[in-house]
Amino acid sequence: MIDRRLFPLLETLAASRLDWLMRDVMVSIELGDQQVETENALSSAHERIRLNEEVRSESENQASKERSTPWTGDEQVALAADIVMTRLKETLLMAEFSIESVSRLIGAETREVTTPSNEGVAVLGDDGEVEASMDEQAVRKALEGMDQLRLAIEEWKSVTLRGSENT
Amino acid sequence: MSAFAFQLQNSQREWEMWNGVQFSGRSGAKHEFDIAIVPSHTASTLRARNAGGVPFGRPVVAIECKDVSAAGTLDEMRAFIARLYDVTALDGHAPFLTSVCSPLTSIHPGRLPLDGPHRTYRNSNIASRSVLVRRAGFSSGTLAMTGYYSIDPRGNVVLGSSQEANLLSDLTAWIVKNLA
Repeated sequence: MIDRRLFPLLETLAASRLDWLMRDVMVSIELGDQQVETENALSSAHERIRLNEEVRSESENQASKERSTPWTGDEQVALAADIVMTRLKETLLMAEFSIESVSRLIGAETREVTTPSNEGVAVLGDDGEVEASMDEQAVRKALEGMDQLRLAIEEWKSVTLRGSENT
Repeated sequence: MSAFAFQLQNSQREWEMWNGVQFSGRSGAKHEFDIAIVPSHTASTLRARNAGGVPFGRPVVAIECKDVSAAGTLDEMRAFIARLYDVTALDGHAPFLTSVCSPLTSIHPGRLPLDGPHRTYRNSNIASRSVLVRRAGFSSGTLAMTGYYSIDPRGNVVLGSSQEANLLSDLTAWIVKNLA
């Protein structure tokens, strides 16, 4: 169950056309604190692939249903704040990297520009529709605004958690 | 949808890497792979058709990307394997897929003997590379299916991470070894 104190944040994300981020927060909260496979287990899996080993899992620990623990309300608030900050920054950094990579691939410095171009990336939603598009300048501007956003998110988290202490 | 073509040095074979293209399976259902590598003759044959078309069969490389915060679930792994199962055409399927292509190829439009169907799922799994790449990890129990079905699980792959570097390095090595 999603803690109702998250609703203002989720509504803000929806109003900002960040539906994908809103969904990401909601799914992460609904799935709970999941027990995850270890790095060693992943490395072993990679090794089996490398060696073309077809291995039938004999592990006693494999579960038909994954194990997870529901997040408490306060944990949900902290998690939501963390996801929003992390994912937004990552998305912007990836957009910046993508624009640079595509420019390098197509030799942007040397090609002849015959029509106005707006090199950038588009973020597609699950339905394949463009949810946001960013050019190089917009990405840089957004990255510059991340500190301000971080302060705002921290403030929201702090006020929200303080509010629960006072009740 | 985007695509770019490549050819390895000293190799006659040409390939295309596709992003977000649907493939038709044995059931007739269509399945999208986030990143797929196919023979370039498959791509050019489809483009040459007035109406284009949907390729049938299994790409030689199929990568599913999950850019989400939550860990991957068993159902997510099952869904990926089920898609690969539906797009895998084996020798024994030939009599039942004559409406798709005859003789049957592992990918259509394809060319024999390059794109001949495999005899078993194991052969097909080993001849191709199927990767499930995630920004987050995998929930416990999810890896149980990977060994048997040759699914390469890559978790915690974020820009600049060692996992990203390892994934790119391993994939490149596989491509150089198998697509020459």
